Amino acid sequence: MRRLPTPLAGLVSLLLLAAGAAAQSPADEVVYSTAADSLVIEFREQPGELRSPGPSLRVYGDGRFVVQRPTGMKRAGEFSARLTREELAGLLERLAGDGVLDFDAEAARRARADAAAGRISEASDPDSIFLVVRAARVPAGAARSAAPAEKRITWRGLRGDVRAHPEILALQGLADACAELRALVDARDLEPLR
Amino acid sequence: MSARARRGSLALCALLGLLLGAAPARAGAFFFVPGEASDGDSRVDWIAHPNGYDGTGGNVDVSYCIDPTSANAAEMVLPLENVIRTFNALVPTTGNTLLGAANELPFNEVDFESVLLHEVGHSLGLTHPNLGSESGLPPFPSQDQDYARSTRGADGSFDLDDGADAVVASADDLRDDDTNVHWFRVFDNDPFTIGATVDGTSYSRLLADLPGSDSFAAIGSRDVAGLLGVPGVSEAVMHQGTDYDEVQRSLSHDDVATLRLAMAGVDEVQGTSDDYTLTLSYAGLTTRCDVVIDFDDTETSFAKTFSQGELAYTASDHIHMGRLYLPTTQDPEIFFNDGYAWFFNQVSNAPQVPSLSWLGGLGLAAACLAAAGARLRRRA
Repeated sequence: MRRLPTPLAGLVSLLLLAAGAAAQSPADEVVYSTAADSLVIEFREQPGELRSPGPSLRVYGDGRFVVQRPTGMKRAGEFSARLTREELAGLLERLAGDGVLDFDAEAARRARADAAAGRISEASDPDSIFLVVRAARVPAGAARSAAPAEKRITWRGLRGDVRAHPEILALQGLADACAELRALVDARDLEPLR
Repeated sequence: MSARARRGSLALCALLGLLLGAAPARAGAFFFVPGEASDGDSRVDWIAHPNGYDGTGGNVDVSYCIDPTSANAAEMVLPLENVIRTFNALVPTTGNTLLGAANELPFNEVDFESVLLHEVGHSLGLTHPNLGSESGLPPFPSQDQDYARSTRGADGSFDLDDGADAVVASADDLRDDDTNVHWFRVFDNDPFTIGATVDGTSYSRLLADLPGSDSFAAIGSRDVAGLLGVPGVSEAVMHQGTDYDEVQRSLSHDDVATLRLAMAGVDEVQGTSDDYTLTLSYAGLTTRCDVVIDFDDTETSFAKTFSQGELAYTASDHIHMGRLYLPTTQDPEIFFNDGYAWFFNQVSNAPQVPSLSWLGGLGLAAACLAAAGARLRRRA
């Protein structure tokens, strides 16, 4: 597993963002480190049937993001681009609004099991998604010096689960968040790194 | 005891078992067997049949089509026709995996026909002989997903030990209380062989039916093929895990055996009235068929098959693939992601029809031979 950079100076300066997403209180704010070496979002997708790794995304606190599209993908290679401060803040707001920061994998698995009871279905070759978001939602005006929390989510067969159980909002939210991150992975105006 | 003697004695034992009226062992590696099942749960015995099999025998036709609005629709036609012919022929092969310079693919492309062959196998009721990504175990380069398919057993976790030969998914694996759901050939537990009879008398998933000192079902992986000395690079098509620059367009013995096991019908005895034959057909660029194929990036990051199942037979451990998992019959079942650099084979695997010029040459040769024969007869 890749070693994460130690968040030092970046954690001292936390950007405070006005929140407004559906899943959070209007008074909440999303905080994260704005340091250039702070990994704020990590996203990776592993196709089930493919032995080689799938695409990945890393977003840093200063808005720079790096996309890896491995051999075998169209437009393969390593690319970079930058989000403005407002764009990154907006992205994190939307992820928070999708419920990523509060995602309870165990509860979602229980909901899936309950929904699947009595039904026989299967989606072959399930993909796995790996998502890490280092941000926290805090009440407006709360102490701002705390380090952002790290939210790690691993889910297998998300697309199939959402198709089978659209009523499970937590999974739908996670799928929406992943779709937003995939849009960055698939963006066409990226700068090749090598 | 030598391997040959051991196999001979096992065959004798199997024959005696049949003569004594022992309960037939069951067989296959099938869709829908849930990972949480364990010994005593009838679901571990489920054998999945294609949609259209009603339990009474005959021919089952499964039609495939390509969504005309899909990306790469035209390029998919010939690979799909090839896949259909491959399944209709049901010929087991070895050396079915061509890597690197042995195939025509660029190093950075994925062979659509090979992956489609795998997905069509799912649509017919086959699942992976290995644990695969559905196990939740770490992906390659870890070999954990390559172990023989099983449930987690009573302790709720997979027990993975590759045994003395250090080959994952071979016959000496030690799997503690994991419940095997991969159906092996009772005669030799060799996934690269097949007998004349493929049914519940000759295949089993019960470890008690393993030959000799075997401790677990061996599966059709490349490593097991190497261990058994199978020529070329051989692997079951249904083994999960493909890669770039890899071609796998013909079935292995294990793929054929598993389909034939299902085709023995709900009584699991080959040669009885509930047996069925299987015919796949191509319905064209349309969505009016049993299994629709489509590129849809919202459905998969690479490739997958959806299906629902229905317990529709008098035998409670038999199930058939649903027409569709999705709510309408217009929606596709097999999905691919267009983000990958797919290679679309455009060489047909149909038997070559002799051309007029070839027939002409043959006629000329026959005429020459006839003339030569006449000359010889005249000399005599």
